[in-house]
Amino acid sequence: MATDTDLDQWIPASPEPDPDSEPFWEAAQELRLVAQCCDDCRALRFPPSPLCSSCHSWNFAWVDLPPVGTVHSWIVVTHPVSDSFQARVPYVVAMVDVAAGVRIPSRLVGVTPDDVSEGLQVGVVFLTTVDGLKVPAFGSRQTDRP
Amino acid sequence: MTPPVASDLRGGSIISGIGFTPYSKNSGRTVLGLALEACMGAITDSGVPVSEVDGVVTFGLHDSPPAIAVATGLGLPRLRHFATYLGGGDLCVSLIGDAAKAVMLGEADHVLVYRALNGRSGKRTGGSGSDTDAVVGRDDAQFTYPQGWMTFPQYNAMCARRHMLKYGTTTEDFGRVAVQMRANAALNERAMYRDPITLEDHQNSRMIADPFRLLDCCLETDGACAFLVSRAEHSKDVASPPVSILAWANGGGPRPGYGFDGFYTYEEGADLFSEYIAPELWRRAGLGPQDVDVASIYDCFTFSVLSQLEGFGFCKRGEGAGFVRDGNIASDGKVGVNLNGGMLSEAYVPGFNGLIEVVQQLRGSAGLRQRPSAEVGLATGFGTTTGSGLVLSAAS
Repeated sequence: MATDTDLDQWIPASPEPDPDSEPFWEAAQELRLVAQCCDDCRALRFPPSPLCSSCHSWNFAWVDLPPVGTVHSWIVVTHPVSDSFQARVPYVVAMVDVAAGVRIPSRLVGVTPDDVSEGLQVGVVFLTTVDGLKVPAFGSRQTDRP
Repeated sequence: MTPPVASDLRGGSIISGIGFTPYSKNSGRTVLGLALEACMGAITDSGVPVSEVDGVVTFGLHDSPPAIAVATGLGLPRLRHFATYLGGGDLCVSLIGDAAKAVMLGEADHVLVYRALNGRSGKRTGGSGSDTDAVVGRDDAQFTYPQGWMTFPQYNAMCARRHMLKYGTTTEDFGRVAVQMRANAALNERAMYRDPITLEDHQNSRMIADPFRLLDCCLETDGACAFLVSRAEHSKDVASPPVSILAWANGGGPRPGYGFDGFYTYEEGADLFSEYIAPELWRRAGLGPQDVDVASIYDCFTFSVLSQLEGFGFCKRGEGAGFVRDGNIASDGKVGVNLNGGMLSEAYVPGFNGLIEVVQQLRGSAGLRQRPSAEVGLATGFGTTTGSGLVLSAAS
């Protein structure tokens, strides 16, 4: 029988990387959160795209992001959409601002609906899918998780 | 410099006919059957012979028959303008403009615009209701679905929260929209839900994705609606009172999103597409929000109504809640909003069942729901970060 903590860490569905996003997911397997940085105008961007939408350069590098962010908005999911998420409700999903140009949708791990607020500081955690893939998410900075 | 426009097109086309099926949770019919019934209804309503219909336009999310299927089913002898757009609520009412352009340019004479769906018994919007692992990898769902963020109520609840944070809007403010829509539906024999609700009922309804409760979310419906669009010169020939097409617009602001999944690239979810398209819409129409008697404001969610009342200029940014609280959207308020009960209470045929109501109001044929001297109507389409607007008037 899974414990609450196991459920919190476990993701029922695996992402399917595409040619634009493969480096993002490869870095995640090494427990690194990365985004593209434009070689020409230095703008960060997320989600992955081959073209910089600021200066239209095709040149970029993948860079490590700071492992912290702040909550921009959030919801508390109480109605599970599919059977896979039935055991997970209620859970908090937030949009987390990590850097200019990088806002990442994320489960908030270890954060209860009563704890969450605009501007709350959260830190990167890595969750594991049914297929064993690591997925970056954010969680309470007080909670040290692998 | 003011660009040459579109105001030249004002009044050059009409909605010459409307048609719709019953709205239900389980039609037991194909979406083609629903589409053909609504389209035949619109053609019959207009009095235009079927053989003279030469254009077909529709939209959907792979849940509606394509334009060519309807052209085939109706046995149209010739197709001179057709399009099947990918879209949900965003484009919807601006497709009346697409048809209007086609008839005014002479590409076609009479263009059908329809939407059909088995939105409850068949393919539910957003793929909800099934174990939807298959949607992973669709657009940028790879960044949203594994996080447990995957449906339109969940996406829009995130924007609604922004409205609460930025403007102090409360869930009671959302609830007042739901209560008003249900009160309107009580007078509508077509509405799927007609029993009145109170603000308390709203607050006690099941939480779906906080801050959205069940009664913040629109219905799911099997049904279809259709419109026939013709040049204004046909006004004297058509069998039902024509409604004049004044202006339309669609669009949005920067970074609307890479797909329909989450819209998290958009800067501020409290303020959505409508403020970007409203200035052009009103300029093209030669009118403003103060001129509107009846409106179909796309109410996929209660919050969506507040956001659009602000964006289309009925009130200032952040004042949507107060505007509703003061009774301005009631049937006898400044603007009668969703007098059919909207998608929250009548039916969900994205944007189109509301447009049917606006046409009926402008014709003066809305029965118990008729707003006295309804002369100018607005209909909107809402795709969160992008959307559309359409301004109509009773033909003089």
